[in-house]
Formats: sequence, C-alpha cells, structure tokens
Amino acid sequence: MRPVELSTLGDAPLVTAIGRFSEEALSEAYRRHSGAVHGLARRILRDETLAEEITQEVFLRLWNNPEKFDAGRGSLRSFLLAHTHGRSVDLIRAESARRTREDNDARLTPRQGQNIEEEVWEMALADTIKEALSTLGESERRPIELAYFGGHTYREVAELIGQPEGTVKSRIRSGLKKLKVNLGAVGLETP
Amino acid sequence: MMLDSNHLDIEELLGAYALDAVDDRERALVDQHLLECEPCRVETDGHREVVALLSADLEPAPGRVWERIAGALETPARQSLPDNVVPLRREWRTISVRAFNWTAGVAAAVVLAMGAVAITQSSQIGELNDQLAAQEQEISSLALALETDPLEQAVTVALDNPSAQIATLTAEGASGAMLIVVLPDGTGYVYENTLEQLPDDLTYQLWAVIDEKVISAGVLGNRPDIVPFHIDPDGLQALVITQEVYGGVPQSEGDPVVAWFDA
Repeated sequence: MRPVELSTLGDAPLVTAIGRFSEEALSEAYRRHSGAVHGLARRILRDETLAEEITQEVFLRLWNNPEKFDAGRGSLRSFLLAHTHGRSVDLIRAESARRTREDNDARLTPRQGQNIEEEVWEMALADTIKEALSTLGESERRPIELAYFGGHTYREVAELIGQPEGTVKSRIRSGLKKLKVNLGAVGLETP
Repeated sequence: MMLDSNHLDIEELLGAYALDAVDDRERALVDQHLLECEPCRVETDGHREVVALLSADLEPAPGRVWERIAGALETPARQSLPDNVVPLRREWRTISVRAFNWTAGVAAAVVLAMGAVAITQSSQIGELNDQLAAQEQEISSLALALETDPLEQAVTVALDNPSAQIATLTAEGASGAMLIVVLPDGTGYVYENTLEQLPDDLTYQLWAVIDEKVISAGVLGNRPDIVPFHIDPDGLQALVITQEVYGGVPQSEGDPVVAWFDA
C-alpha cells in the first residue's frame, strides 16, 4: 500500500488517521487549524494564557474523541471552531456569573463599552472577510459580531443595542444567510 | 419569555444557536429538535461553516502550545489490525469476576424483563480469507485517495462478507436499537444506531461477554454513527451497550440499554 501524504488528505481520512493514534495526523490538523482556533479563543477571551489552554483542550479532545467529528455535517475547521467558541463563551459566562455574585450591576459592564464593535472590527479580520461583513447592514452585522466575537447571548445583544430580543434573533439568522452568499462572492466558499 | 418548542420558534433560534448565543434551556431545546429535523440540522451546519470562515488564520498559535499538546498525548500499545480499522480508544480491560457476576445478573434480568431479545444472525463466523483482506486494503486505499470515508467503505465490505455476523442490540421498551457487524477476525463496526443522542457528559459504551468475562469493547460517544472495534470472536456470548459518563468506565454498574445474546 502506498504511503499516504498527510498534507493531501481530506478531513475524514485525516481524522480516521488520528483515530489510529497517528500523532503526525494530529500535527497536520494542528498545522491547518491551530491559527484559527487560537485566534478565535484569543479574540473572545482577550487573554493569551486562556486562549492557549483552550487551543490545547480543543486538539486533545480531537485526539481523545475523534469519533465526535462527523464529516457528513461539516468541515473539521468548523467542528474545531465550534468547540473553541463554545468553551470560550463558557469561560466568559462563568466569569460573568462570578462578577454578578460580586456586583449585581457588573455583569455586562466589563464588555459593554460602546467601542466594542470598533474593537472587534479592528482586530485584524482578513480583508476578504471584512469585505463580506461590510456588505451586511449594520442591523445584522452588529448582532453577529457582538454574539460571535463578544460571546454575548442574543438577549444580551438586544440589551446592548436597545432592540427587541426577537428582532435580534431574526437578524442574526438572516445575517448569517446573507453572509454565506457574500462570502461566496468574495471567493470564500463554504463546503 | 415563554418559548414554544414548535418548529418555527426553534428555526428562528438557529442563527443564535450556531453562535452559542442562546441560554442553556434554549440550547437543550434546539439540540433535541435537531435530532429529529434534518432541514434545521442542515441550516445549523451551514451557519457554523459561515462563522468558521470569520475566524481567519491571523497568526499561528505559539509553538509552546503544540509542545504541551504533544506531551499530553496518550497512545496505547498498537495492535496488529488491518489499516482500515481504527483501534480501540482504550486498551481492553478484563474486568473483575465481581463485575461479571453483576453484569451476568443484569443480563439475566434483562432477558427476564424483556421476555425476548431480538437476535439477528445473518451467517456463521468463518475464516477471513486473504482475498477479502486484500480487497479491504485496496478499498481503504481507494477511499483515502478519493477522500471518501474509509469507515463507510469498510462497513460496506463487512456487510457483504457472507461470514460476517450481524447482531441487533435491542431491548423491550428501548426507544432504539444498535446494529453491529462482526467479521470472523473480530473486527466489528457499529453501523446503525437509532438510540437517542446522549448529553455531552455521557457516552454509550460497548461490552463484549467472552468466555464469561466482560470486556470493554469501546467507548462509542454520545451519538454513535459508524464506530469500529475489535474483539476476540471466539467464545463471544453477548454484546451489551451501557450508558456511562463521558470517557467511559473500566467496569460498568449501569443497566444495559440494549443487548444481544448468542442463541
């Protein structure tokens, strides 16, 4: 059987190789996706140490539980980033809950500054992604940014931007649908 | 706000759900709904792909992170298995006689409680011939080359093997079943599963009763799809699925969810 070049493997066979305890395969997955995983965790947490811990956790989980990846439901990248995002948000909300216990008025305050959108915007998003995001109206872009990069629930977003919860919920959904089309238009296709 | 758990309400939540922007109760509602609703599952997966693109590779993670990961990897002793077989995630563990007595007791109770355990046995175990092994290797290679799922290919080959044994693990009152195919060399696959998805902190675990010893045959995850395993087919008396804590357990104290017993 000919040797397999890991760098040419798609997601499913790469994860299968990880399931066979191939450290080289895990290293290849790390080479492909660690930048995105670490970058997302750092953007959300604003803490390098925590971001590194989340990155480590995400790849060790892939090593220990490769069967959790279902190639039929999406790319390895989105699978890893979904876990990264979920764990990062968990940390933020745990911290938020702690602050709530200490100060009933402090829950949103540390992250509520009106410049958060601008901060997020300036955090070196790839130009093509900025371009795709900029084609969304502000009413759809802001909720997505605040929820995804800020780690807020849609109810918190509604409070932050002074819109009804139902409106925010709908605009996140419609914005993501438009973004899919827009990302395709700037050359970033989803699988 | 009261949330009606009908389709339209859930559908409206899918964008926020994909961004982890829902509360725990809403997440549980959507999780449950997605088990049953293919269109919503497809939409959610699509949202996740879109947001994944927002996380551009800005810079590589620091090298020390990989060093820590590499230092934390646990690799069990490798087994001599065909290339298309994923070895067990954990080394086999022969559990105690006490544990077996417990399991045997539960197994007997299950038989009594269920009245009957459905058994489907398509054919008898025979010897795996060299030609089939070569074909499996070739299919695995082709699958890799075509970037298709080699596990699906392996299951297809296994099901076509006239010497394979197919077991339906079920129980009276259980809301689903699990189908397993075992080749004569002990290579097996969970290939169809209609048991309910478990929460993330739980997992299904497969146990083989072989010569009156209970052996963990694999931790299957909370929503098993195709999962390979390997057992010693000689002396196989039963296959049992239990529900365990995330990561699995060396010996189980839980009730079987579904089971198959050799006739």
